[in-house]
Amino acid sequence: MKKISILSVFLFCISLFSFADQIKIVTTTTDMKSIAEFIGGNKVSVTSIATGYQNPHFVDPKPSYIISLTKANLFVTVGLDLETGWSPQLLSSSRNTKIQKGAAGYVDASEGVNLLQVPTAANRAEGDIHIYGNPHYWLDPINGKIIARNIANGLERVDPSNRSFYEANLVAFNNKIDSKLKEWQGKMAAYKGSKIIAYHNEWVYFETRFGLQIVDFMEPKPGIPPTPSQLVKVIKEVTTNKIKVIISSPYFTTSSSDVVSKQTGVKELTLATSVGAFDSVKDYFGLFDYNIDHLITVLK
Amino acid sequence: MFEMFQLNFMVQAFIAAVITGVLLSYMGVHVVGRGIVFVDLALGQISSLGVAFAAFIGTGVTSIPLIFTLVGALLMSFISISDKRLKQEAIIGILYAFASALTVLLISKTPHGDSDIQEVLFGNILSVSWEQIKIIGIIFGAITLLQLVFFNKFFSLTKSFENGEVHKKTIFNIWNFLFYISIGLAIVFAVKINGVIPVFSFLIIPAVSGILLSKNNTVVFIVAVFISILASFLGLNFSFHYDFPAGSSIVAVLGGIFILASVVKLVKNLIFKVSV
Repeated sequence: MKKISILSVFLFCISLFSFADQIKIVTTTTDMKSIAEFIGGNKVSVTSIATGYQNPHFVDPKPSYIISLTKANLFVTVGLDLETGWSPQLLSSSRNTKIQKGAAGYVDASEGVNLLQVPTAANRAEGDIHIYGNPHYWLDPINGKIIARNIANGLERVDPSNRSFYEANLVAFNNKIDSKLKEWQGKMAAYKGSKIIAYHNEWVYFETRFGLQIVDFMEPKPGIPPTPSQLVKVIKEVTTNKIKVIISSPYFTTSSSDVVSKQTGVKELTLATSVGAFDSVKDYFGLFDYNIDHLITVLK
Repeated sequence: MFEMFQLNFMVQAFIAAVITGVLLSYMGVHVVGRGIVFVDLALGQISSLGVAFAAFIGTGVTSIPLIFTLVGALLMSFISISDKRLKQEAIIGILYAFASALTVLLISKTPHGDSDIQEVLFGNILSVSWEQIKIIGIIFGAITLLQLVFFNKFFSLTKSFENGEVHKKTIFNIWNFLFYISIGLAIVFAVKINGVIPVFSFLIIPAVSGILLSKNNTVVFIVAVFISILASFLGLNFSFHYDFPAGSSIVAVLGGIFILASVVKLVKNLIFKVSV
């Protein structure tokens, strides 16, 4: 008994030691967490507020989120209007001046990303509420590099002494993206131009990078659940274009895709929208491994 | 037990929960007495309809829901039924269903209207700011003052509903109107802070538990108010220690208190039977 308690005190001291100097990073999503871990290595400890299987537009706040923000040195947000429903409120409740918008510890990962589907005044009423552009930009690995750059900048602001360490990790991360991207694009090459249907408009960056063509969405407008007329339209499109798959995300119900599938025989595939969406999606590279491997099996 | 008060946001959450909980549980005794427990869900839904409408026309997302709710409360105060087969609750239920359906219809033409409703209507008590607390402090303080000063007027009106007295259709009853305005305002602002289900629970559970525990009217009011404070404290503690969403934790504690009150009532009845 005594031995155990001495041991545990010892372990506790070690853990205190090893955490004492680490930069505490809180990210809004798991994708940002994964990239922050690649850049920060053992110099950082990272927690993500949202889980990978959750719709990042909606997160129900818990006390621990605010507590971890209170202690954070660096806050990383996907930005645009992805998390507007919850992250600004949590941030202000934390009262941590180091990580408020504009402070050194605040990282907007979207800075410098070439945004797609930025609405013009003319199509604002048409449906896109994402007033800054589509916020699902991390689903293009090239944007992963920009996210990594932004996180590295943030880390270098709050921890300048380890600058060279972060820069080296950034280079390694970028190289890995380049080599993996070749592998992924190689796998997808045979299916370039494949027409597919998506449930929600969150795949535009993925679609553009990997040469897919999303013909239509199950949702008539982003955020509006499928209506009967939309189902009829999609069924028609599936048959005329010989579409093989409807892709969806873990947090949407498949009931209306099921209807289309039953009518036409089109396959349904739930892809990972974030790291941790499925147990096997362990990091940012695993996200694309999973999605591409599953896509090519249904597109064959 | 009190560690959570070392954190600012937990102190703010507790103050907000107590301010809203106390008034709601007090109003709840009237609501349960009148037999209109759905008034909360109906007014809440009418304010959702207001948000949906504001999102649809693209403006007035804070003012329109308030106007809708007050108009809804006004309409409800006119409900007077002389036919014994009908209860007010049925009409309120219809308003609820109607408002829900209209909300769905409007949302179906408004992209991300549902997320607007989420943001505008369903606050989270963990991220309440001092400014919000000030606002509800003033509004809830004013309503409480009104309710206490004219306690007898409001109370005799509720009693008359409890006894099933028929109210004359043609006469506009100012106290009935003020009652509905009070409850409409209380619900709109409380929902913005707590969310719909916690507000419904604060309104109904302490009142019902109080009625279970005592026959004396004053005691019922006091017990209800006490339960709302106790549940705010225990619920937030539970949320803090086990890391659960705060609103649902408070509701769970309120539910537990209701079960306890029912057991006490049962045991009391048994003892009463045995002794008789």
